[in-house]
Amino acid sequence: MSAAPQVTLESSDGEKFKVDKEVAERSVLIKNMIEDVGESDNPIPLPNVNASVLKKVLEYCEHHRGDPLPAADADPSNDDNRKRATEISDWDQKFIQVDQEMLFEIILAANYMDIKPLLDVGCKTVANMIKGKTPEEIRKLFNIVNDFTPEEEAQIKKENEWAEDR
Amino acid sequence: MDEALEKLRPLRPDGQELVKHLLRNLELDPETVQSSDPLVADENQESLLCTVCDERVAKYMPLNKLIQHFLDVQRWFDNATEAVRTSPDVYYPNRAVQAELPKIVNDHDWTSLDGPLVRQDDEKTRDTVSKLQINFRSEELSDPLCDKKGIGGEDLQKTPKRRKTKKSRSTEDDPAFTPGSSQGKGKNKTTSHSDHPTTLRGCKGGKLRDLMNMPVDIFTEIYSYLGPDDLRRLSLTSKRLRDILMTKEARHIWKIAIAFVPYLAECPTDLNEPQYVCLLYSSDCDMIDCTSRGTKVDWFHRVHFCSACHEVK
Repeated sequence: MSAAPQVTLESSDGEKFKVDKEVAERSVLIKNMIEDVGESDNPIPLPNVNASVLKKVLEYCEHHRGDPLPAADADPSNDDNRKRATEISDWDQKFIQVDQEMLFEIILAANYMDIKPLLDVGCKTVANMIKGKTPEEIRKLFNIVNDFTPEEEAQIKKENEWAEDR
Repeated sequence: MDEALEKLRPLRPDGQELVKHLLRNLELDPETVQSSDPLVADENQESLLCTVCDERVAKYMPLNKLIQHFLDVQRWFDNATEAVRTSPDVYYPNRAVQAELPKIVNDHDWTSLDGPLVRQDDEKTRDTVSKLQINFRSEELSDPLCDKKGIGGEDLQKTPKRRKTKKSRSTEDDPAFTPGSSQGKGKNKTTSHSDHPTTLRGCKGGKLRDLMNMPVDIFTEIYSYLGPDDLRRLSLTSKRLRDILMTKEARHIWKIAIAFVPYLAECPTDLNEPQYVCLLYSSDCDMIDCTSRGTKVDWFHRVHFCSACHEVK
Protein backbone atom coordinates (compact mmCIF):
# COMPACT_ATOMS: atom_id res chain seq x y z
CA MET A 1 0.00 0.00 0.00
CA SER A 2 2.89 2.34 0.69
CA ALA A 3 3.65 2.51 -2.99
CA ALA A 4 0.15 3.61 -3.80
CA PRO A 5 -0.07 6.98 -5.59
CA GLN A 6 -0.84 9.83 -3.27
CA VAL A 7 -2.39 13.23 -3.57
CA THR A 8 -2.31 16.28 -1.37
CA LEU A 9 -5.44 18.11 -0.31
CA GLU A 10 -5.45 21.57 1.15
CA SER A 11 -8.15 22.71 3.52
CA SER A 12 -9.64 26.20 3.62
CA ASP A 13 -7.36 27.11 6.51
CA GLY A 14 -4.24 26.02 4.66
CA GLU A 15 -3.56 22.67 6.28
CA LYS A 16 -2.28 20.01 3.89
CA PHE A 17 -3.31 16.37 3.95
CA LYS A 18 -1.41 13.73 2.04
CA VAL A 19 -3.62 10.75 1.33
CA ASP A 20 -3.76 7.80 -1.01
CA LYS A 21 -5.30 8.69 -4.31
CA GLU A 22 -7.76 5.85 -3.87
CA VAL A 23 -8.97 7.38 -0.61
CA ALA A 24 -9.25 10.90 -1.99
CA GLU A 25 -11.20 9.62 -4.98
CA ARG A 26 -14.08 8.61 -2.76
CA SER A 27 -14.89 12.23 -3.40
CA VAL A 28 -16.31 12.55 -6.88
CA LEU A 29 -15.24 16.18 -6.91
CA ILE A 30 -11.60 15.25 -6.36
CA LYS A 31 -11.81 12.29 -8.71
CA ASN A 32 -13.01 14.58 -11.47
CA MET A 33 -10.39 17.16 -10.65
CA ILE A 34 -7.62 14.61 -10.88
CA GLU A 35 -9.02 13.36 -14.16
CA ASP A 36 -9.23 16.88 -15.51
CA VAL A 37 -5.85 18.24 -14.52
CA GLY A 38 -3.92 15.00 -14.36
CA GLU A 39 -1.79 13.97 -11.44
CA SER A 40 0.46 16.65 -10.09
CA ASP A 41 2.32 17.43 -6.93
CA ASN A 42 0.36 20.60 -6.39
CA PRO A 43 -2.10 20.36 -3.50
CA ILE A 44 -5.78 20.26 -4.43
CA PRO A 45 -7.46 23.22 -2.75
CA LEU A 46 -10.78 22.67 -0.96
CA PRO A 47 -11.79 26.21 -0.08
CA ASN A 48 -15.13 25.17 1.46
CA VAL A 49 -13.77 22.65 3.94
CA ASN A 50 -11.72 23.46 7.01
CA ALA A 51 -9.04 21.20 8.46
CA SER A 52 -11.03 19.65 11.29
CA VAL A 53 -13.87 18.73 8.98
CA LEU A 54 -11.59 17.52 6.21
CA LYS A 55 -9.78 15.30 8.70
CA LYS A 56 -13.06 13.77 9.68
CA VAL A 57 -14.18 13.33 6.09
CA LEU A 58 -10.90 11.65 5.17
CA GLU A 59 -11.32 9.31 8.13
CA TYR A 60 -14.57 8.22 6.56
CA CYS A 61 -13.03 7.84 3.12
CA GLU A 62 -10.15 5.84 4.53
CA HIS A 63 -12.50 3.40 6.23
CA HIS A 64 -14.64 3.01 3.14
CA ARG A 65 -11.81 2.99 0.62
CA GLY A 66 -12.66 -0.45 -0.70
CA ASP A 67 -16.43 0.02 -0.98
CA PRO A 68 -17.96 -0.11 -4.42
CA LEU A 69 -18.71 3.36 -5.65
CA PRO A 70 -22.38 4.09 -6.13
CA ALA A 71 -23.32 4.12 -9.77
CA ALA A 72 -23.70 7.66 -11.00
CA ASP A 73 -26.85 6.78 -12.90
CA ALA A 74 -28.60 4.77 -10.22
CA ASP A 75 -32.18 4.33 -11.25
CA PRO A 76 -34.72 6.24 -9.23
CA SER A 77 -36.53 3.23 -7.82
CA ASN A 78 -33.30 2.04 -6.28
CA ASP A 79 -32.92 5.48 -4.94
CA ASP A 80 -36.22 5.11 -3.17
CA ASN A 81 -35.17 1.83 -1.70
CA ARG A 82 -32.01 3.37 -0.49
CA LYS A 83 -34.02 6.00 1.24
CA ARG A 84 -36.22 3.48 2.91
CA ALA A 85 -33.28 2.02 4.72
CA THR A 86 -32.59 4.53 7.43
CA GLU A 87 -30.35 2.22 9.41
CA ILE A 88 -26.72 3.19 9.57
CA SER A 89 -23.87 0.73 9.93
CA ASP A 90 -22.18 0.47 13.32
CA TRP A 91 -18.94 2.06 12.23
CA ASP A 92 -20.73 4.94 10.51
CA GLN A 93 -22.91 5.45 13.51
CA LYS A 94 -19.92 5.81 15.77
CA PHE A 95 -18.18 7.97 13.22
CA ILE A 96 -21.08 10.39 12.98
CA GLN A 97 -21.43 10.77 16.73
CA VAL A 98 -20.17 14.31 16.75
CA ASP A 99 -21.61 17.57 17.96
CA GLN A 100 -24.30 19.12 15.88
CA GLU A 101 -22.11 21.81 14.41
CA MET A 102 -19.66 19.20 13.15
CA LEU A 103 -22.49 17.04 11.87
CA PHE A 104 -23.79 19.82 9.67
CA GLU A 105 -20.27 20.72 8.56
CA ILE A 106 -19.71 17.13 7.54
CA ILE A 107 -22.96 17.10 5.58
CA LEU A 108 -22.00 20.28 3.80
CA ALA A 109 -18.54 18.97 3.06
CA ALA A 110 -19.90 15.67 1.79
CA ASN A 111 -22.25 17.60 -0.43
CA TYR A 112 -19.51 19.86 -1.71
CA MET A 113 -17.00 17.08 -2.21
CA ASP A 114 -19.71 14.88 -3.67
CA ILE A 115 -19.36 11.89 -1.39
CA LYS A 116 -22.84 10.46 -1.68
CA PRO A 117 -22.63 7.69 0.95
CA LEU A 118 -21.33 10.13 3.55
CA LEU A 119 -24.02 12.62 2.66
CA ASP A 120 -26.57 9.86 3.16
CA VAL A 121 -25.20 8.95 6.56
CA GLY A 122 -25.31 12.58 7.63
CA CYS A 123 -28.83 13.18 6.39
CA LYS A 124 -30.09 9.96 7.91
CA THR A 125 -28.58 10.98 11.20
CA VAL A 126 -30.35 14.32 11.14
CA ALA A 127 -33.59 12.60 10.10
CA ASN A 128 -33.23 10.13 12.95
CA MET A 129 -32.77 13.02 15.34
CA ILE A 130 -36.07 14.46 14.17
CA LYS A 131 -38.02 11.22 14.15
CA GLY A 132 -40.60 10.68 16.83
CA LYS A 133 -40.05 14.08 18.40
CA THR A 134 -42.77 16.53 19.26
CA PRO A 135 -42.59 19.96 17.64
CA GLU A 136 -41.36 21.35 20.94
CA GLU A 137 -38.59 18.79 21.15
CA ILE A 138 -37.56 19.50 17.57
CA ARG A 139 -37.38 23.21 18.33
CA LYS A 140 -35.22 22.53 21.32
CA LEU A 141 -32.98 20.18 19.40
CA PHE A 142 -32.24 22.60 16.58
CA ASN A 143 -32.76 25.73 18.59
CA ILE A 144 -35.62 26.77 16.38
CA VAL A 145 -37.59 29.75 17.62
CA ASN A 146 -41.31 29.20 17.81
CA ASP A 147 -42.56 32.25 15.96
CA PHE A 148 -46.21 31.24 15.95
CA THR A 149 -48.60 33.04 18.21
CA PRO A 150 -50.71 30.67 20.34
CA GLU A 151 -53.68 31.42 18.08
CA GLU A 152 -51.70 30.66 14.96
CA GLU A 153 -50.41 27.51 16.53
CA ALA A 154 -53.90 26.28 17.28
CA GLN A 155 -54.95 27.12 13.77
CA ILE A 156 -52.12 25.48 11.88
CA LYS A 157 -52.72 22.22 13.67
CA LYS A 158 -56.06 22.06 11.99
CA GLU A 159 -55.46 23.81 8.75
CA ASN A 160 -53.38 22.19 6.10
CA GLU A 161 -53.99 23.95 2.87
CA TRP A 162 -51.08 24.40 0.54
CA ALA A 163 -49.66 27.84 0.96
CA GLU A 164 -50.56 30.36 -1.70
CA ASP A 165 -48.09 30.53 -4.51
CA ARG A 166 -45.85 33.42 -3.92
CA MET B 1 -89.30 2.88 -3.57
CA ASP B 2 -89.67 2.13 0.13
CA GLU B 3 -88.60 -1.37 -0.46
CA ALA B 4 -85.48 -0.21 -2.22
CA LEU B 5 -84.66 2.01 0.70
CA GLU B 6 -84.98 -0.80 3.12
CA LYS B 7 -82.58 -2.74 1.00
CA LEU B 8 -80.11 0.08 0.98
CA ARG B 9 -79.93 0.86 4.65
CA PRO B 10 -78.33 -2.26 5.98
CA LEU B 11 -75.96 -2.29 3.06
CA ARG B 12 -74.45 1.01 3.80
CA PRO B 13 -71.12 -0.19 5.14
CA ASP B 14 -70.46 -1.91 1.90
CA GLY B 15 -69.86 0.77 -0.67
CA GLN B 16 -69.70 -1.63 -3.58
CA GLU B 17 -73.08 -3.10 -2.79
CA LEU B 18 -74.49 0.29 -2.13
CA VAL B 19 -73.35 1.52 -5.47
CA LYS B 20 -74.71 -1.52 -7.26
CA HIS B 21 -78.07 -1.02 -5.65
CA LEU B 22 -78.00 2.64 -6.42
CA LEU B 23 -77.28 1.94 -10.04
CA ARG B 24 -80.10 -0.54 -10.23
CA ASN B 25 -82.59 1.56 -8.36
CA LEU B 26 -81.68 4.78 -10.04
CA GLU B 27 -81.92 3.07 -13.39
CA LEU B 28 -78.52 4.18 -14.45
CA ASP B 29 -76.07 2.34 -16.55
CA PRO B 30 -72.47 2.25 -15.39
CA GLU B 31 -71.21 3.97 -18.47
CA THR B 32 -73.21 7.09 -17.85
CA VAL B 33 -71.81 7.16 -14.38
CA GLN B 34 -68.29 7.16 -15.65
CA SER B 35 -68.88 10.04 -17.99
CA SER B 36 -67.27 13.24 -16.96
CA ASP B 37 -70.31 15.34 -17.70
CA PRO B 38 -72.29 16.12 -14.61
CA LEU B 39 -75.38 13.99 -14.37
CA VAL B 40 -78.29 15.69 -12.69
CA ALA B 41 -80.54 13.56 -10.57
CA ASP B 42 -84.27 13.73 -11.15
CA GLU B 43 -86.68 14.02 -8.24
CA ASN B 44 -87.05 10.33 -7.62
CA GLN B 45 -83.37 9.71 -7.75
CA GLU B 46 -82.78 12.62 -5.50
CA SER B 47 -85.12 11.45 -2.80
CA LEU B 48 -83.52 8.05 -2.95
CA LEU B 49 -80.09 9.61 -2.61
CA CYS B 50 -81.26 11.68 0.31
CA THR B 51 -81.62 8.51 2.28
CA VAL B 52 -78.00 7.59 1.92
CA CYS B 53 -76.29 10.91 2.18
CA ASP B 54 -76.72 14.48 3.12
CA GLU B 55 -79.68 16.10 1.44
CA ARG B 56 -77.68 19.01 0.21
CA VAL B 57 -75.14 16.77 -1.34
CA ALA B 58 -77.83 14.71 -3.01
CA LYS B 59 -79.31 17.85 -4.44
CA TYR B 60 -76.24 19.61 -5.74
CA MET B 61 -73.75 16.91 -6.34
CA PRO B 62 -73.86 15.55 -9.85
CA LEU B 63 -75.08 12.01 -9.61
CA ASN B 64 -72.13 10.39 -11.27
CA LYS B 65 -69.67 12.25 -9.09
CA LEU B 66 -71.54 11.15 -6.04
CA ILE B 67 -71.40 7.54 -7.03
CA GLN B 68 -67.76 7.78 -7.84
CA HIS B 69 -67.27 9.24 -4.45
CA PHE B 70 -68.97 6.30 -2.79
CA LEU B 71 -66.58 4.01 -4.56
CA ASP B 72 -63.69 6.18 -3.60
CA VAL B 73 -64.64 6.24 0.04
CA GLN B 74 -65.11 2.51 0.05
CA ARG B 75 -61.74 1.86 -1.54
CA TRP B 76 -60.10 4.18 0.87
CA PHE B 77 -61.90 2.65 3.78
CA ASP B 78 -60.92 -0.85 2.70
CA ASN B 79 -57.30 0.13 2.38
CA ALA B 80 -57.29 1.85 5.71
CA THR B 81 -58.90 -1.15 7.36
CA GLU B 82 -56.33 -3.43 5.83
CA ALA B 83 -53.49 -1.18 6.88
CA VAL B 84 -54.70 -0.94 10.43
CA ARG B 85 -55.05 -4.68 10.73
CA THR B 86 -51.68 -5.50 9.25
CA SER B 87 -49.44 -2.88 10.72
CA PRO B 88 -51.07 -0.73 13.36
CA ASP B 89 -47.72 0.24 14.83
CA VAL B 90 -46.47 1.79 11.67
CA TYR B 91 -49.75 3.20 10.71
CA TYR B 92 -50.72 4.76 13.97
CA PRO B 93 -47.75 5.49 16.14
CA ASN B 94 -50.11 7.40 18.36
CA ARG B 95 -51.09 4.93 21.05
CA ALA B 96 -54.45 6.39 21.82
CA VAL B 97 -55.52 6.39 18.21
CA GLN B 98 -54.13 2.96 17.75
CA ALA B 99 -56.19 1.56 20.58
CA GLU B 100 -59.26 3.24 19.27
CA LEU B 101 -58.92 2.26 15.69
CA PRO B 102 -60.08 -1.31 15.39
CA LYS B 103 -63.21 -0.17 17.14
CA ILE B 104 -63.73 2.68 14.76
CA VAL B 105 -63.10 0.58 11.74
CA ASN B 106 -65.32 -2.25 12.82
CA ASP B 107 -68.14 -0.40 14.48
CA HIS B 108 -68.13 2.70 12.43
CA ASP B 109 -71.47 4.29 12.83
CA TRP B 110 -72.47 4.75 9.27
CA THR B 111 -75.88 5.95 10.29
CA SER B 112 -74.30 9.20 11.36
CA LEU B 113 -74.79 10.21 7.78
CA ASP B 114 -78.45 10.48 8.52
CA GLY B 115 -77.79 12.98 11.24
CA PRO B 116 -79.89 16.09 11.60
CA LEU B 117 -78.20 17.99 8.85
CA VAL B 118 -79.23 21.49 8.11
CA ARG B 119 -80.06 22.25 4.59
CA GLN B 120 -78.02 25.06 3.17
CA ASP B 121 -79.96 26.29 0.26
CA ASP B 122 -77.88 29.27 -0.55
CA GLU B 123 -76.93 30.36 -4.02
CA LYS B 124 -73.31 30.46 -3.14
CA THR B 125 -73.05 26.81 -2.34
CA ARG B 126 -74.89 25.91 -5.46
CA ASP B 127 -72.62 28.09 -7.53
CA THR B 128 -69.47 26.75 -6.02
CA VAL B 129 -70.57 23.21 -6.49
CA SER B 130 -71.60 23.59 -10.05
CA LYS B 131 -68.67 25.76 -10.98
CA LEU B 132 -66.20 23.26 -9.77
CA GLN B 133 -67.92 20.41 -11.55
CA ILE B 134 -66.70 18.67 -8.60
CA ASN B 135 -65.16 15.58 -7.67
CA PHE B 136 -66.90 15.22 -4.43
CA ARG B 137 -65.44 16.87 -1.42
CA SER B 138 -66.30 15.34 1.84
CA GLU B 139 -66.43 18.69 3.51
CA GLU B 140 -69.70 19.28 1.79
CA LEU B 141 -71.08 16.82 4.23
CA SER B 142 -69.52 18.16 7.32
CA ASP B 143 -70.19 21.81 6.70
CA PRO B 144 -73.84 21.83 7.54
CA LEU B 145 -73.08 19.69 10.50
CA CYS B 146 -70.67 22.23 11.79
CA ASP B 147 -73.03 25.09 11.19
CA LYS B 148 -75.67 23.31 13.11
CA LYS B 149 -73.39 22.93 16.07
CA GLY B 150 -72.43 26.55 15.78
CA ILE B 151 -68.77 25.84 15.39
CA GLY B 152 -68.22 27.88 12.31
CA GLY B 153 -66.35 26.75 9.26
CA GLU B 154 -64.84 23.41 8.62
CA ASP B 155 -61.25 22.81 9.56
CA LEU B 156 -60.25 20.96 6.50
CA GLN B 157 -60.73 24.03 4.50
CA LYS B 158 -61.98 23.77 1.03
CA THR B 159 -61.32 26.18 -1.70
CA PRO B 160 -61.38 26.00 -5.42
CA LYS B 161 -57.63 25.94 -5.23
CA ARG B 162 -57.71 22.28 -4.48
CA ARG B 163 -58.95 21.44 -7.91
CA LYS B 164 -55.90 23.03 -9.32
CA THR B 165 -53.78 21.09 -6.92
CA LYS B 166 -55.17 17.85 -8.09
CA LYS B 167 -54.72 18.51 -11.74
CA SER B 168 -51.13 19.45 -11.36
CA ARG B 169 -50.38 16.49 -9.15
CA SER B 170 -49.03 14.27 -11.85
CA THR B 171 -46.69 16.88 -13.11
CA GLU B 172 -45.34 17.81 -9.76
CA ASP B 173 -43.33 14.76 -9.02
CA ASP B 174 -40.19 16.25 -10.33
CA PRO B 175 -37.74 17.16 -7.69
CA ALA B 176 -36.87 19.84 -5.32
CA PHE B 177 -37.94 23.24 -4.35
CA THR B 178 -37.93 26.13 -6.66
CA PRO B 179 -35.38 28.72 -5.83
CA GLY B 180 -38.25 30.81 -4.56
CA SER B 181 -38.94 28.48 -1.70
CA SER B 182 -35.35 28.44 -0.71
CA GLN B 183 -34.77 32.12 -0.54
CA GLY B 184 -32.77 33.13 2.41
CA LYS B 185 -31.89 29.59 3.35
CA GLY B 186 -28.45 30.26 2.04
CA LYS B 187 -26.92 28.51 -0.87
CA ASN B 188 -23.76 27.77 0.93
CA LYS B 189 -21.89 28.32 4.09
CA THR B 190 -20.60 31.68 3.09
CA THR B 191 -23.94 33.31 2.60
CA SER B 192 -25.32 31.72 5.72
CA HIS B 193 -22.63 33.34 7.74
CA SER B 194 -23.40 36.71 6.34
CA ASP B 195 -27.10 36.15 6.98
CA HIS B 196 -26.40 35.51 10.61
CA PRO B 197 -23.34 37.45 11.55
CA THR B 198 -24.08 36.94 15.21
CA THR B 199 -23.91 33.19 15.17
CA LEU B 200 -20.36 32.21 15.79
CA ARG B 201 -18.75 28.89 15.37
CA GLY B 202 -19.33 26.73 18.38
CA CYS B 203 -21.89 29.13 19.70
CA LYS B 204 -24.76 27.16 21.11
CA GLY B 205 -27.30 29.50 19.66
CA GLY B 206 -26.16 28.77 16.13
CA LYS B 207 -28.02 25.53 15.65
CA LEU B 208 -30.90 27.08 13.82
CA ARG B 209 -28.52 28.44 11.26
CA ASP B 210 -27.20 25.00 10.62
CA LEU B 211 -30.47 23.30 9.92
CA MET B 212 -32.14 26.19 8.24
CA ASN B 213 -29.23 27.19 6.07
CA MET B 214 -28.58 23.85 4.58
CA PRO B 215 -28.62 24.03 0.81
CA VAL B 216 -32.02 23.11 -0.48
CA ASP B 217 -31.01 19.78 -1.92
CA ILE B 218 -29.68 18.69 1.45
CA PHE B 219 -32.84 19.88 3.09
CA THR B 220 -34.82 17.76 0.71
CA GLU B 221 -32.50 14.84 1.29
CA ILE B 222 -33.07 14.99 5.03
CA TYR B 223 -36.81 15.25 4.64
CA SER B 224 -36.91 12.27 2.36
CA TYR B 225 -35.89 10.04 5.25
CA LEU B 226 -38.73 11.21 7.43
CA GLY B 227 -42.10 9.59 7.96
CA PRO B 228 -45.35 11.45 7.36
CA ASP B 229 -45.88 12.17 11.01
CA ASP B 230 -42.38 13.57 11.38
CA LEU B 231 -43.05 15.94 8.53
CA ARG B 232 -46.29 16.99 10.10
CA ARG B 233 -44.63 17.76 13.39
CA LEU B 234 -41.73 19.47 11.72
CA SER B 235 -44.16 21.71 9.89
CA LEU B 236 -45.53 22.81 13.25
CA THR B 237 -42.25 24.01 14.63
CA SER B 238 -41.80 27.36 12.99
CA LYS B 239 -43.11 29.58 10.26
CA ARG B 240 -40.11 29.06 8.10
CA LEU B 241 -40.26 25.29 8.16
CA ARG B 242 -43.96 25.46 7.65
CA ASP B 243 -43.53 27.72 4.66
CA ILE B 244 -41.15 25.24 3.15
CA LEU B 245 -43.24 22.17 3.79
CA MET B 246 -46.60 23.63 2.92
CA THR B 247 -45.80 24.80 -0.57
CA LYS B 248 -46.86 22.65 -3.41
CA GLU B 249 -43.23 22.28 -4.37
CA ALA B 250 -42.93 20.23 -1.22
CA ARG B 251 -45.66 17.85 -2.26
CA HIS B 252 -43.23 15.22 -3.48
CA ILE B 253 -41.68 15.09 -0.02
CA TRP B 254 -45.05 14.27 1.49
CA LYS B 255 -45.74 11.77 -1.23
CA ILE B 256 -42.47 9.96 -0.61
CA ALA B 257 -43.14 9.88 3.10
CA ILE B 258 -46.64 8.48 2.61
CA ALA B 259 -45.36 5.92 0.14
CA PHE B 260 -42.87 4.64 2.70
CA VAL B 261 -45.52 3.52 5.12
CA PRO B 262 -46.39 -0.07 4.28
CA TYR B 263 -49.98 -0.63 3.21
CA LEU B 264 -50.89 2.99 3.67
CA ALA B 265 -53.53 3.86 1.16
CA GLU B 266 -52.88 6.59 -1.31
CA CYS B 267 -53.96 10.04 -0.40
CA PRO B 268 -57.70 10.36 -1.08
CA THR B 269 -58.40 12.67 -3.96
CA ASP B 270 -60.31 15.16 -1.89
CA LEU B 271 -57.49 15.79 0.55
CA ASN B 272 -54.05 17.13 0.02
CA GLU B 273 -51.19 15.13 1.48
CA PRO B 274 -50.67 17.18 4.63
CA GLN B 275 -54.39 17.02 5.35
CA TYR B 276 -54.36 13.29 4.91
CA VAL B 277 -51.38 12.91 7.19
CA CYS B 278 -53.02 15.15 9.71
CA LEU B 279 -56.17 13.08 9.65
CA LEU B 280 -54.17 9.91 10.17
CA TYR B 281 -51.72 11.02 12.77
CA SER B 282 -52.86 14.14 14.50
CA SER B 283 -54.52 13.62 17.82
CA ASP B 284 -55.96 17.06 18.22
CA CYS B 285 -59.70 17.31 18.21
CA ASP B 286 -60.92 19.00 15.05
CA MET B 287 -63.77 20.73 16.80
CA ILE B 288 -63.12 24.43 16.93
CA ASP B 289 -62.10 25.71 20.34
CA CYS B 290 -61.64 22.21 21.64
CA THR B 291 -58.13 21.42 22.78
CA SER B 292 -58.71 17.84 23.87
CA ARG B 293 -57.03 14.93 22.25
CA GLY B 294 -59.13 13.62 19.42
CA THR B 295 -59.06 9.91 18.91
CA LYS B 296 -62.33 9.26 17.17
CA VAL B 297 -61.65 9.27 13.49
CA ASP B 298 -64.56 9.92 11.26
CA TRP B 299 -63.38 8.56 7.96
CA PHE B 300 -66.29 9.75 6.00
CA HIS B 301 -66.16 13.33 7.10
CA ARG B 302 -62.38 13.28 7.27
CA VAL B 303 -62.19 14.66 10.75
CA HIS B 304 -61.39 13.40 14.18
CA PHE B 305 -62.92 14.36 17.42
CA CYS B 306 -62.19 13.80 21.05
CA SER B 307 -64.67 11.53 22.79
CA ALA B 308 -66.72 14.40 24.16
CA CYS B 309 -67.18 16.14 20.83
CA HIS B 310 -67.83 12.83 19.18
CA GLU B 311 -70.73 12.24 21.54
CA VAL B 312 -72.17 15.64 20.84
CA LYS B 313 -71.98 15.03 17.16
